[in-house]
Amino acid sequence: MKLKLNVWRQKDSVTEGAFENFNVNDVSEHMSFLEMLDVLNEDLITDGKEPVAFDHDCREGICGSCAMSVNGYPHGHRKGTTVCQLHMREFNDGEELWIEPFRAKGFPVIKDLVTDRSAFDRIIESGGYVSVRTGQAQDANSIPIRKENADVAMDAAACIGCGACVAACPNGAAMLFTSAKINHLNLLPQGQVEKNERTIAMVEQMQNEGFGSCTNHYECESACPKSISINFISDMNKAYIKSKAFGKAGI
Amino acid sequence: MVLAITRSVIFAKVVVALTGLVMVGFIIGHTSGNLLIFVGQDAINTYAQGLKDIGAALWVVRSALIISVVLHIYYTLKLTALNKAAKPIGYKKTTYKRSTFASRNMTILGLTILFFIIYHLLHYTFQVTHPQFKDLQDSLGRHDVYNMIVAGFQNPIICIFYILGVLGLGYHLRHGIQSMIHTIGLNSDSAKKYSNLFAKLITIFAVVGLGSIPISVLIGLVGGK
Amino acid sequence: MILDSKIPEGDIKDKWENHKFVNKLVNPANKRKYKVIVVGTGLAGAAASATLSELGYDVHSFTYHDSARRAHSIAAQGGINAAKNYQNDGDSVWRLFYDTVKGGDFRSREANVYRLSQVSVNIIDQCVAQGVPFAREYGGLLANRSFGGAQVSRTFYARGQTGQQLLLGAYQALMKQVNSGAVKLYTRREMMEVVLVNGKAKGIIVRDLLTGKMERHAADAVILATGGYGNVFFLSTNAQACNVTATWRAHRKGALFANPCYTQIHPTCIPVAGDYQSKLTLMSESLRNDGRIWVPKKNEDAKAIREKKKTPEDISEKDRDYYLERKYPSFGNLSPRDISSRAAKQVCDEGRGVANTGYGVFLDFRDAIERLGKDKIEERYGNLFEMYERITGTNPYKSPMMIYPASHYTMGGLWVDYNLMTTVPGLFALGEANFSDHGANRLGASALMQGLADGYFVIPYTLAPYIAEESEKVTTDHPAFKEAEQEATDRINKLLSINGKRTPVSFHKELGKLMWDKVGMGRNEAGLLEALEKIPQIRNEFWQNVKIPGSGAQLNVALERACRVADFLEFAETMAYDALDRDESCGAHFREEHQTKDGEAVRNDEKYTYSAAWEFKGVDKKPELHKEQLEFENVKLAVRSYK
Repeated sequence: MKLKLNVWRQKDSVTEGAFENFNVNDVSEHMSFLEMLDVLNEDLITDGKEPVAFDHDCREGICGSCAMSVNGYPHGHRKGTTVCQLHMREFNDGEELWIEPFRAKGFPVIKDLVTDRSAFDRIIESGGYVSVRTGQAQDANSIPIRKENADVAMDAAACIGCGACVAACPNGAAMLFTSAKINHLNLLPQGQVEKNERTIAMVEQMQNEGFGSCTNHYECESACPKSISINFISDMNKAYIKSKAFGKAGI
Repeated sequence: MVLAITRSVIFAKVVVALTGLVMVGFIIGHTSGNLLIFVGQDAINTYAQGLKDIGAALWVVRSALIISVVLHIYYTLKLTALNKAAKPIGYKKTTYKRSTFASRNMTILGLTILFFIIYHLLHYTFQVTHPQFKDLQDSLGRHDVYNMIVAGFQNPIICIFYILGVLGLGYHLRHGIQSMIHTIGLNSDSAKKYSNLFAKLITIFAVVGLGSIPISVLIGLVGGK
Repeated sequence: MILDSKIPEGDIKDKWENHKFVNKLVNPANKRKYKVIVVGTGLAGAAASATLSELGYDVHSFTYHDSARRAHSIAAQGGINAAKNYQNDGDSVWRLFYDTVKGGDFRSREANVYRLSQVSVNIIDQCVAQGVPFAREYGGLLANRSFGGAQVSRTFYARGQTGQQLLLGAYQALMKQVNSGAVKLYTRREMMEVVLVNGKAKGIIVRDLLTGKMERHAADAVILATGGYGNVFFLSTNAQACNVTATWRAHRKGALFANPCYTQIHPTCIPVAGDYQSKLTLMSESLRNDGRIWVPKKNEDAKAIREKKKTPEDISEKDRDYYLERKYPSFGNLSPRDISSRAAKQVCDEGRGVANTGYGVFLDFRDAIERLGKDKIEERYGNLFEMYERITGTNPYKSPMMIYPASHYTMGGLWVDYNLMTTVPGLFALGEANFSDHGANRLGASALMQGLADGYFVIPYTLAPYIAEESEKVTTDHPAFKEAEQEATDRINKLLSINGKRTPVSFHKELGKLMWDKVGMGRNEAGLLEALEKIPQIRNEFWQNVKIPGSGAQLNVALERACRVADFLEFAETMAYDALDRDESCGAHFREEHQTKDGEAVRNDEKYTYSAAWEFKGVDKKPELHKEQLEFENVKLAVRSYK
């Protein structure tokens, strides 16, 4: 099939970007979206033009590297899918596509479709861990964990850190990402000890990174390739207020 | 850097939610009271007089309401500015999956409602736009609220303005109530189901209840000869 | 060169304990004066960075990704082995050790494997303490499953995302140390050279992938945890960026490369669909528990399916060949990875393959759905079926899946001694980047175990003896840094100046196809000689005809790829030499000359019970072979049989 692509090109973080048009022919329905861009890039290189830069790595939807919006949808319109697993059979012959980087103040564009998502690392750095040193652990089965809690913690921990939640949110909020990690750890007995400090530190780091706040559009949940629930945001709000108000008392 | 709790976005969100709750309470009360117009002139005038007779206590309620309105607006505008700044560039094609007209326009709907409330206060409460309402009295010498409402809605333009205001309120409530429940952390699946239902019921009650009054007056169902 | 594996004295059960006691320690107050570079932030790298910094070392950690959380360890699905014996089914450190040595087809170092089995139990404790949400039973204790044909249930798992959860645990531990200032993390940096001063590793040169700037970093020791080289085949289950550059650059500086021909092929991947294919997706091996593998008996049926003139449903039961069940009646569809993979290749080579390329076999759930019902199958494999449908557009509930083997993991790597130090003093290699523990074949759920063992529990002990005795401090002003930086800069400039006609990817594809055909699942002398003739030709053309637009002073994805392909083009030759030298079949290395009548691998223990460690002698020159003889004192050499 044939497609008309409008791809965001931007030389670097300071230069202004613009859409560039490409007509791609011979697109196979079995190609992944990124393979379609690979083919375009091979042609560009052969013509001596710079290929479209985009982040990608595992191409099986788990590393969280790939990040672009197709027609305004982060990772494309298909639910629960990263753009590396989006296949061209989801599109129609002759369709015109708008391919853009993830848009948010917290994710400045580096080049073309590549954005700087290091703010997420700084949020994790601020408290997204259990302070245990190697070798300190007791036997793994010494603390039983309710299966339901372990399962919900796993639901939250499934986050791949791609940033689609931020990209989809009309407010550029990172609350789904932040709340997923806070809940993953707060739900487990190992993470309970530092619950208050973690929640406060991560929420405030998130705010300091310039992300917006949730006004309950629920766009993040539907864009999330792992379908992480917005319930976690609600839990985070509760945990934050509690920690802030009573945290010093160790409640 | 540890933030003061008042500078935190979550605090702001919770304040907006809780002040919203106060206002929802007011709307339920206000709508219920005004629906007495369908019972008759005596019912609504008695109710109005009753409110007046509470005196100082009424002012406590009113103060709470005014503080809520001020805080609600202040923190909403603060959050809106922050959220706008967090998303400086949108997408070429704007597409949504879950967000709604209401969720995307809460601030503008809110400001519309504010404008509407200001007019509504000038219209009926302080009677600035229609000073003649001050002198209306019923047979018992009470302020004749019934006839004031009927007189106030004789002008179709005012009625349309009221209906639009109420519709705006409906949209605002529909998203606001659900958001409020989510923000303050009631989020189990059953709570979500009920919060959704709750939001719908209150919205319908307020829109139908408040909207029916100007329509009824206009078509002569209330106050008709 | 004599390869001293430095295996400690004593009974195998006591070696590690003795070694830890005998080893010199570094005074806690002095540790912060020692700078350690860790390249790579996967399981091994992140675990090592976090742990060494907890001990007090000044750790500098490097990754080419934008975040330390993206390394390819994240993609491991199945689980992680540990000899916990929580299931009371007879598992023990000894049994895990025994299974691993046997599974490695007697080509691994016993002492290392035993240590791996010993520390496996600590890994699970550590990960649980970090908040890794392993699967649990209703009583709140950890769940286990049997994996990859093991006869005990010793595999811990977190849904199908075990690698992700373990990596996030290690990443979080790393970020905790970054937060406390104990680790300095450098992202989007590609290691270009190892810097040697007086024969010892004293630093690295990295290229900032965003600005193109070369940076010099000096240290007292350098640790490479840079993964495997499976992408030498171009198509593999590895991530796009996985490459051999760091280990190859170390190899060029004197670190021997061991057993590069041991490359594991995973039997259940989605077949190639077209020329544009960029990677192969792995489908969990668990599918083989209920799916039946078959191809048509008749070539004309297979041809008709390939040409879409027939559907699989048109082939009657008597015309189907369930070849694994036929050849290996006791293990059937659950036969080990190497055996299943080769059997698939064999039937496809006979012309009975399906998929449009002819390289694919059916994995059919028809009987399982009939027997257990669709709901049961959906409960067990629902997410895998969905993934398959998303990628291929075929509904596996209605029509059989198609699978084909793909390169998955590489057992070979930099040669290391018991301390995980390469033949370059001060240069260590961890995880998939070294050759140490899996011999000629890795067991399922053991890669995660080894990466974390090396990072959390081995290197913290084995680094100290080197550090304690090494006193020479160098700074980046040393001429060796200037020289290494110049080398890297020249290489980049050379690549940019060629301005030929072909893209870096086109060379990678050409090399990959050659390697897959001649140095892939089945190898023979003629094919290997052909590969050895053709690899230099591709390499020569690459250096004359590659085209890289843009400059070296910015993010340049074509240039990054070209640098990696350039190193694969040198490495591939060594891999072929190794496969040619090893004139036997063992584990994942199958020399077609050495098989039984039924196509089983035939080892030659008399001649080849050694690890082959290759020394770099220059591009276009044959590397020199050094042998580390392997002693089997605890597990008796025996023939693997899965009949």
